[in-house]
Amino acid sequence: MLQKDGAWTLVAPDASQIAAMGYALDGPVAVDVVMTFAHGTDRALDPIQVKKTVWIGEPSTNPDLPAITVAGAPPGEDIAVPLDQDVYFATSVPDGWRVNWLTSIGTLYQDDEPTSYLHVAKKDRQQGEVACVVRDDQGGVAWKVWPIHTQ
Amino acid sequence: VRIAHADDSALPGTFSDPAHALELDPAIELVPVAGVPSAFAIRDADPSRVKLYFDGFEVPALVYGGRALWFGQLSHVRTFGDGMDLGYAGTAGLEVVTDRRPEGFELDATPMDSSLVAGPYPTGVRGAFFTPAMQRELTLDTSSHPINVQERLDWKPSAHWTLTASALALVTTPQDFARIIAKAAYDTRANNAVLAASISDHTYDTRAEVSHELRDVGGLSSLAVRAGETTTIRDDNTFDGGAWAGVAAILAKSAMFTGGVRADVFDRQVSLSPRAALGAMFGATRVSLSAAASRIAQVDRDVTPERATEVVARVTRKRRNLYATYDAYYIDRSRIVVDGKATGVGTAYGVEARAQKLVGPWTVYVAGSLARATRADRLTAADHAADHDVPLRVDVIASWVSGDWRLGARLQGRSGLPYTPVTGAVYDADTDSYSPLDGKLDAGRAPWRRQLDLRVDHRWGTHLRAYLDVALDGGVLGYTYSYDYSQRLEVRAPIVLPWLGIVGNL
Repeated sequence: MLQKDGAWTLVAPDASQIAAMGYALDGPVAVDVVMTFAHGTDRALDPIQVKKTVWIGEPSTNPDLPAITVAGAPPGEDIAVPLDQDVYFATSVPDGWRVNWLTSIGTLYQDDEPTSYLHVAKKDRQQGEVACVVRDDQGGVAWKVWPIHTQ
Repeated sequence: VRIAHADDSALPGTFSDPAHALELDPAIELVPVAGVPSAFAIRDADPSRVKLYFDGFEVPALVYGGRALWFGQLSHVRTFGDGMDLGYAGTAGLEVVTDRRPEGFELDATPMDSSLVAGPYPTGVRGAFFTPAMQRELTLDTSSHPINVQERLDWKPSAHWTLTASALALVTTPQDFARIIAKAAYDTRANNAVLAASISDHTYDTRAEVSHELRDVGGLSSLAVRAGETTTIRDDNTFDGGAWAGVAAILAKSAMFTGGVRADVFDRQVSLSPRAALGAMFGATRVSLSAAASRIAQVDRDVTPERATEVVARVTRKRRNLYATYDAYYIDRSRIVVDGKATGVGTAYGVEARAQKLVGPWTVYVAGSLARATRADRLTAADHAADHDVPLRVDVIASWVSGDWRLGARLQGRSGLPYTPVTGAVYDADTDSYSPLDGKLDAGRAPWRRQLDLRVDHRWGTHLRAYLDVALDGGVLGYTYSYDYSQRLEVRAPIVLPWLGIVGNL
């Protein structure tokens, strides 16, 4: 694993190294990449490990992030939402794909559905980030993070 | 060794349920599955090693929604002595259901359960309108209605012969079960014989037994010789067979030896289970001593048979209004299946005491145990606590009778069961799901449990009675976790759990 410019790169072993490890070369080889985080931000139980399975020998590309709408309109680079109102975040994906919405302000409802809505109350943080993560059925993933604030 | 009596289920904390009454014995634990008692563990043995029999033939664990699914009395047979004749023995002991005739019409209804036993024909039907289900708190599941039907017909065509037809059927979710038994018994003073056949779900079983008693032979007061067999044939053409033989010799007026061996054949495996017991009574003191040793092979279809070797010493003391037993035991277990391989070993040892005293209108029962049970994945691996290791148990009951009223209280205390703590989580980025990171096996232990039960019974004549059995608990039963394992949540028993029962007997 190499880290460069804020991204991680998995350098696959060549055919002879894979054979030396005892794997057959008649198909893709699954490699679980596991990162361990010793201290979660708000977790009672630590550590948390994050696992991503990479298939060596089966090249594939991540999908493009599908079109997103916020309150029915494409979002800009900075999202502004009204206080104490439901604001709908929506996208459209093929069957078998998964959508997750995440936020650091307010409360998201239906956050694992293509259409979600956010409600920010007065007592909530008024500024933060919102993200959309889309996973296809081949192990590919696309995401985007927007700064968000109330107005 | 019989430990359960019909009246036991009228003691506080039993909720008039024979399965809970079994827990009066400190060797027996009702094991919760998803928070609801659903199986038995005897000493340290896994519930899968405890076999339950109905009229001598194996049936599934008859506990559903925390309540017993059987009628009649239930006896507890240790792994030595009388267990030889009962098919494939569990390494933990045997639970034997003895059928009984319902006497007239009986309706038993509590907020958690209800049952109906109809007579005068010897047929019983028991069903539950709702059953308790433990989520994070106790709830009543109204969608599940387990039904138990038992039937028994006895016919004596002559002085020595008894013919019996009995059946047991369970209609539960997700499993239905039925067993039909036909039995012929021949009984004279010196000779006894039993021939029985049974049909169950895709299995056909037989059981035969003969015994002959000689008196004043070879210097013995009595010598009884017993032998028998069991067979099971399944629809898939697999066959299990077992044969056993034993003797019971009264050496003198106050000493008795029992011993024998059982051989089980399963496919190409042959398992021998020898056992022997020696007992002596000291007449003037009303104290008897017994010692027993047994080696039991647990026959399992898929793996090498687990073995348990048990040595038990018992002191029994009987005096007027007092009955007490004191046990010390050691169990060595091997061939325990770990990750599909029979490499596991384990030991258990402990002492148990049970004492009951009647004083005027008072009944006082005290029981307790000190025990330690460990397991290891292989001989060279480090020990850890067994899943059902309960180092300390204490049970004190006092019951008082006056006229038609009976009042009782019970204080229970026991160590919490071991559990494997979750120390973290693995987030799968492909499936967006979490799975637990398990810590050291059985390294955690649930907190000490204590429970106070208060009970009042009242009888109106001989046909109607009612009881209120209130459990005061609120203790931690175990733990569950949030979906991402970021939080550990306690599963607690209800603080107050009342059972109100009305029993009519016509």
